[in-house]
Amino acid sequence: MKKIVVSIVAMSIVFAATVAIVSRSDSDSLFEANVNVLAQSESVGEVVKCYCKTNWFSPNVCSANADGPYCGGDPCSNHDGNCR
Amino acid sequence: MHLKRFPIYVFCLLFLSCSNSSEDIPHKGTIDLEACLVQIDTMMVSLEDASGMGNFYMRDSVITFVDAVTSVFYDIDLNGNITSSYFRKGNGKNEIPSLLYAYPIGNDPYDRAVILDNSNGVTIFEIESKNIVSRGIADFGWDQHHIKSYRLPELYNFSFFTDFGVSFYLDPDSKLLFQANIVNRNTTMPNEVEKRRYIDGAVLGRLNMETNEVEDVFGYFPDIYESTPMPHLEFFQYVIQGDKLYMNHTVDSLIYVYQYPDTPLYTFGYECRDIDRSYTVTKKIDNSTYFKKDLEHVGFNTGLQFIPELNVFCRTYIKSAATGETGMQIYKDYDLIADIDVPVFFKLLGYCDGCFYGSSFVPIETTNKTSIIIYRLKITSLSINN
Repeated sequence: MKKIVVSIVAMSIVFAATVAIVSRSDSDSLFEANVNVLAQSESVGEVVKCYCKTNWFSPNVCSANADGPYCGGDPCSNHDGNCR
Repeated sequence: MHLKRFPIYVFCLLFLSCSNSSEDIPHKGTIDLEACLVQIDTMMVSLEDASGMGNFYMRDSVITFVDAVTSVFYDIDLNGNITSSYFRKGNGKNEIPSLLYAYPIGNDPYDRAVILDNSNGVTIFEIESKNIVSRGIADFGWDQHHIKSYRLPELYNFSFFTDFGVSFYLDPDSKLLFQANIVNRNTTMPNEVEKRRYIDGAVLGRLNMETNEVEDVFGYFPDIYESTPMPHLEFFQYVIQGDKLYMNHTVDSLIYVYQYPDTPLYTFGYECRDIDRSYTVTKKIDNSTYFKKDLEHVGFNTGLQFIPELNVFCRTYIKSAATGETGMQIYKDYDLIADIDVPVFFKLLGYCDGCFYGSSFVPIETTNKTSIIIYRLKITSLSINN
């Protein structure tokens, strides 16, 4: 019985969210464009390994475009959470 | 194969394998220094909410500053006025999630520029319309093969040290050319310079902008690396002009000229004035440690530009990292015609209407605001002006 109630509640939430997005996308093309761009950026995103990129005139940064051991810089936007 | 001829074949192969040696190719030009009058204007450009960290480039009469922290681009006219700012950090349309640097593609008929982010994301945008036309992540094939060959992209990445600027060009097949770096962790012996590193090692890569696949790597290190290994100082600047490739390695007094892509033709260039070239020579790979150590005193070649209006090459150099004292050599028809002092940490950006323009590698930061510095140089001499 509990499972049935939980399923109904979950389906209701999904339905409500879908209705909300559909109704918004009809009236707000900018919102739709942003959702699409976010979806695209997520789909092309790929987990990368981060390394220390040594700079002279600016702080070192953590980047896939590097080869050094981890240096405490800001991690890549989609790093693997294990900077070297 | 006739066995009697075998030694001849071996000799020929040995001869060919050594054909990239700079000792085998001629050196062009002479030293023909002239008296120069250098007038310098300094323009301080205040930027609201900017970090001041990033890179500059110049197209025609517009200098662009790319803020690597906020992802905002600022267009500045030749009098130091900000004429427009565009892009910003974000994931939306015409927004940049993160950014390492951005530079125009030197010979692009569509006038586009490349933005590289710290996840090897490559974004292409049109400079005039400021529209982003493509995004993708460069694929060097690191996980596809496990072949340890210095002539395959699997061992490479985009250039690691980029403070002196990078250059992008299109090759005849519209592939994007970029400076490549050996990824030490991908090599057979990641802790030391291997025997073939400076013989087979490539310096440039070709990226297919439609598939984002790095298709191949090419070019060679000059002999100086083989005789005095410096794995922490492998960066360089390059220019493509017509069918020729001009390479300015940061540690070398010579400028190498190749028939594109990598057939050596000749060298030109003379040692930079008062430059400290006492680099750490080592086969041990520890780029960060040795680079920091050398940064205490050595000098570097920092840029190479061809100015078509004057038919001259300009090479900038920092004499000593300790002082930032900077010089600029000017070569006409391969002859060194000028070697002048320019402002400390000067970066040459381009030439317009009789003046050279440059910036400082270092911004000025106070508690309230960040300013970048633009320099205008009027250089007067007989050869430069005729």
